[in-house]
Amino acid sequence: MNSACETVRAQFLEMRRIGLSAEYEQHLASCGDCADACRRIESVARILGRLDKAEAPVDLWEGIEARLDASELAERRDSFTMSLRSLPRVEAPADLWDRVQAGIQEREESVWRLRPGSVRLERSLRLLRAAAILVPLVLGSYLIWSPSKTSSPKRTIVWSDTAIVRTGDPADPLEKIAFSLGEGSWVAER
Amino acid sequence: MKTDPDLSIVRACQAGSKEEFQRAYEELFQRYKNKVFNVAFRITGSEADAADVAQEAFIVLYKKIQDFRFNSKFSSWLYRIVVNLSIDRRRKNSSKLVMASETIDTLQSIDSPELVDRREAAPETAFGHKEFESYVQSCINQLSPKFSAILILRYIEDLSYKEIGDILGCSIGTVKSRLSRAHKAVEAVLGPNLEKYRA
Repeated sequence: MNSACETVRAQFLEMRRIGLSAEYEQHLASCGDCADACRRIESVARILGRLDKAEAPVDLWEGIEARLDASELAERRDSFTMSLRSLPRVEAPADLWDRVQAGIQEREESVWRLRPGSVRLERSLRLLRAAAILVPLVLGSYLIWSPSKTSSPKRTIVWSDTAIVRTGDPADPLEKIAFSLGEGSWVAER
Repeated sequence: MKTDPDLSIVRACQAGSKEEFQRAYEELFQRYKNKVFNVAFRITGSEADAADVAQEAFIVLYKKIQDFRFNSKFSSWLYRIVVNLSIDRRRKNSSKLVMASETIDTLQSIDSPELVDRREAAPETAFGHKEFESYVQSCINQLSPKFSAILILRYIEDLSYKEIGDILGCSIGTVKSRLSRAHKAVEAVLGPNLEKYRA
């Protein structure tokens, strides 16, 4: 095999698509080894080119949706768990239950909509961070109790950047809310 | 550089509202589901693995499309995701394949009339297209995942060297030399059947 053969074989892969030049044709006609090598290359291309295009199964989309849902749930659960470890813990105000009850504008199963401004915290409670907890309520957002099937701890309520440790005491205002809405974990949505 | 044919739909995914994102994402899925599945199937050699890889690829797409910057064609980026996932899957399965091939070796050592060397047969003529497909796929499965990938992208997906280079993250020169080596490898696997099946 000389340099011309090397060039012909190296370039045959590309040339076969656009057509061989007269020079190539001439070389192939006179060089049996190159003709054989190029024929093998051509054979591989033809064989692979004859394979059918496999079509995606009809339930591919459903599978993706299910995995996306599972992945989002897992991410949510992970961030929830991480939040629990890092968030400052505060106690719920004693009159939170009454305030929430008084502020309820609409009640629909596990969703309570509160009147804007109906629940406020006094700064004197030194719960400035905890104020973030109730901002959604103040703005009239939804208070949602989401029954949890995940491993989310049930003894802690998380809102924004603050965690409120549940006491388990039936007289505790948050326990009253929890009891009314059903077991699960808190999720705040604006 | 030509405008990416997927530009507007990808932009809709990146800049649109949640509803627009969903609509654009579904459109990308419809455009690419068969290509994604086909590449995954040809590299992994298994429909179940291919479905799994295709799902993973679209999930990566869902999560990462915001980061795509059009440094290559969108399709090349998506192919790259699929090829990488498929190669990973092949490697993960390789230990199982070793076990399977050892079993086949053991079986072939028994002089059974059912276990003829298929390379001596002409599958497409003797058994029809389905068997031909199955045989050629089994040959692809015997190649290294990288060789499988480059042959599939070139001859089944009909992509240019430039596109293949973008997908595999290598230069056109590397594509050419790897393709040349992949040719030699598949020629060796096909053996005498190379000429029989080229018709």
